[in-house]
Amino acid sequence: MHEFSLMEEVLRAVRDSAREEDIRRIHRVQMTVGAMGCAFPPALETAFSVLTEGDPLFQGAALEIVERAVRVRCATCGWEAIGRDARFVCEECGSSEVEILAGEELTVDGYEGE
Amino acid sequence: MIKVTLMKKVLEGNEDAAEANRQRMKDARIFSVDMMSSPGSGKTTILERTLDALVADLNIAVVQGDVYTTRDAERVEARGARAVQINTEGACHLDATVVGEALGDLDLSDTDILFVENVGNLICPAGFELGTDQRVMVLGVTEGSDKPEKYPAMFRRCSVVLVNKIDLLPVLGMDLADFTDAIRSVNPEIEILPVSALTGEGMEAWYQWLKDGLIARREE
Repeated sequence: MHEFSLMEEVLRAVRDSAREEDIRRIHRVQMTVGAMGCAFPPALETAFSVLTEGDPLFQGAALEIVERAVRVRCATCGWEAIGRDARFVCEECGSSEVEILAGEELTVDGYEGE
Repeated sequence: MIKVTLMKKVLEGNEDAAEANRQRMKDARIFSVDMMSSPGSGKTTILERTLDALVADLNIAVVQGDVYTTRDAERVEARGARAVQINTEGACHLDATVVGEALGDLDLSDTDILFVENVGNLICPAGFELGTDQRVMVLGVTEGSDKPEKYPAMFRRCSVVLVNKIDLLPVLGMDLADFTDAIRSVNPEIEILPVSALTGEGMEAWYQWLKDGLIARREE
């Protein structure tokens, strides 16, 4: 359950920014989590609700997570695949020069408040 | 309503701390390795063997991550390493900040190789770089050959995997190729070292890999 320590980092970034922007109430926090981002979205949501409970800054706030599938492309022949079809060795030409285009994200994208 | 864009990596703080650790160990000319695996793969036994082989010539320090006990730290201290125990108190991984604190408890000027034995877990440690020179996985053959495909993030982020307990392959009715094929399917570049910490088979290649790493560090 390292999602709690990840969420502490997310909330720290949002709190610091809200203080600078003089924002008193946050409505939503937005994150992007890739399938290989080493975080489980339902666990992030649990951590969010536990760690913001009783904090007036986050009263009624929602966590919005955009999930990204793994997307790969072969640098040799251009073969592309996504999600369950993604492999790290090219299915077309056998090359091991496969780049990960998406799916490793773990970011706090921003938030809305007033 | 105000919309604020942050576009910040969640692990940025950890990556900064890892970079500080990396620089600190580079300055002290230490070769460092983060050892990761699931529980029971044989990490501590591999470390014990490694200490037996190298401790006469090299000063070795071990940062031990364990959820509650000091058992592993005692095991490696008994073999001549200096050990610092980090009890994560339930947390499932080490992060760069706690490793940085542990480095403060060690005499880095008198250390050649530093191992970090991470908490046994195939998921959480992958995202938390500690600032070591290399990240190494131990995969015990008793865990089955489906682990690389199930936990690709872990295998993608390591440069070497020790396939341990190969003496048990005949008992399991499996071939080494079952494991090497599975590992290469998620990370074609990774170096695979088949070993048995019990019989000592293959361990020489691992010791040589460590010595090569230390020589490269000293030549920088």
